Amino acid sequence: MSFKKSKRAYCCSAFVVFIAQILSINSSAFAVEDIQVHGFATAGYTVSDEDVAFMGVVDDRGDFELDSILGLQIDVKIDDKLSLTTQAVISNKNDESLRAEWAFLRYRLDDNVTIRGGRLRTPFFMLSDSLEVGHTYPWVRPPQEVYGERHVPFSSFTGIDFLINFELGSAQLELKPWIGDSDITISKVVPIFEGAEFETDDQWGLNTTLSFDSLTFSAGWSTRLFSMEGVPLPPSVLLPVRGDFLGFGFIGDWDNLLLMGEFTKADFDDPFFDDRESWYATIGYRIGDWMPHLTLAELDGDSAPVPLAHQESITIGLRYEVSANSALKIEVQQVQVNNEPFSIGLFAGPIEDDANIFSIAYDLIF
Amino acid sequence: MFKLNKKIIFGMLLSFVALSTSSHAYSGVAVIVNPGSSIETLSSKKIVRFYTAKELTQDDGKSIVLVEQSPGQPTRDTFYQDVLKKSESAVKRRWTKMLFTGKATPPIILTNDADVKQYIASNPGSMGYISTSSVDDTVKVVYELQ
Repeated sequence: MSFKKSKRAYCCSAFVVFIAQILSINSSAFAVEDIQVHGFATAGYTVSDEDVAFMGVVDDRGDFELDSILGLQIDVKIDDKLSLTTQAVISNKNDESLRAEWAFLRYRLDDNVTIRGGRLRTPFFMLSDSLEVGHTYPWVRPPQEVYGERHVPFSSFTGIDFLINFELGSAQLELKPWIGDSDITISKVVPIFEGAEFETDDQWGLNTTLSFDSLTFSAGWSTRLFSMEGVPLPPSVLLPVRGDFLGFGFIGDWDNLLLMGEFTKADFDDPFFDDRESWYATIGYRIGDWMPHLTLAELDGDSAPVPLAHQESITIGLRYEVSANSALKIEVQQVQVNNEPFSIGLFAGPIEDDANIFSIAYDLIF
Repeated sequence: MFKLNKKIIFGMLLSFVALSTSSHAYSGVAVIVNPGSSIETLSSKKIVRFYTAKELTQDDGKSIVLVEQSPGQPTRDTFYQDVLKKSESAVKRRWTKMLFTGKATPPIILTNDADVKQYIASNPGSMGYISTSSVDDTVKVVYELQ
């Protein structure tokens, strides 16, 4: 197991040189419409009635840390087929406060096939690609039983993906095979992982999306060899460990009614690591600029030595469209972890009763 | 490590709220392209596909630069109601998703009929919509709804 600390820096500099060469080949100046700058921001406050931290940061003193984020995306059209997208994000997640989540070249081979290469989002989930853009989903944050970074620390990878689109009658089918590796240092969420370094090798996957006018179904599978350093593990654990990830999701988005749901399953070939299943289901209904919504979610860790990761929650929320580009969201989540003995769910330690978590967030896109 | 006063940044962003107003005056709408374009006519279905990011290139594989009008413009209201037959918020959600998932960039937004016509007239590969009464021979009409 080798940790190439300089790998990321090397990839980044190689990438920059590559871009510089492309730009010098197409040396004509860019017209204004060839460069688009967009961004997104969330200011979120969360407070719990528990003094044991939820998601590593939220306790009864309240915090802006969990959801507040600022992202800037620059899209440069190089020619008819080639474009460059970069997205930088400032938040308090993990140890890096400024991260490049996206930095890729997109080559549109024809109307059906697009190739992207560089730093891309790992498509574990239906919403992975727009995970941090709060404006694109109803909740303050996607249900953490499924999306919590405790069980999926790699939000992006360096590699390539192919977006292959077909017409199937009135429906559109997208196949996305992808391959590439990730490394990351985490994490505030689980105390024993503080400062740990994680790395994947031999990582690849396939995602499919079938979309009708208002209905979208998605399915994805991926696999990787997973290794880590800086964590006290029992000697019986032989790294690297292979981890497979499976997910299904659907979105029904009509003028008023919104239905969403996802199921995910993670399997590791070493019994020390939790195999996990998680799901959520959301219903929302738009009434003018208001959308009340309800979400049920569950995380089930089937693990040795102790089943730590069991959690169920119910969330009631309200989203208000302040303008076409901004939304205000309020929600209350009641979390139970005590249906399984010793479970701590997504908390830093045991809690006695159900926890009630209140969140308010203002989301903006520009 | 990158240090920025996040409170100040968020404060600035919060003051950035754009309010949209809406009014609706009836007139026909024409979808126009640059006179040099190979497109002669388009079905309303095809226009819907372009403006909802279902189709991102022309039939010959060339990219297409879509032009929008500012929220509140009467021509825009007519275009959404009678051609796209979709709510502005639903179309906006679609483009926001395409943008931040790194799949496509949204249309350019210009102020009114005159600006759109001028832009289309001078940019090959562009497409926009204006009211039928604003059409002249600097642009080519590929779809018209009276």
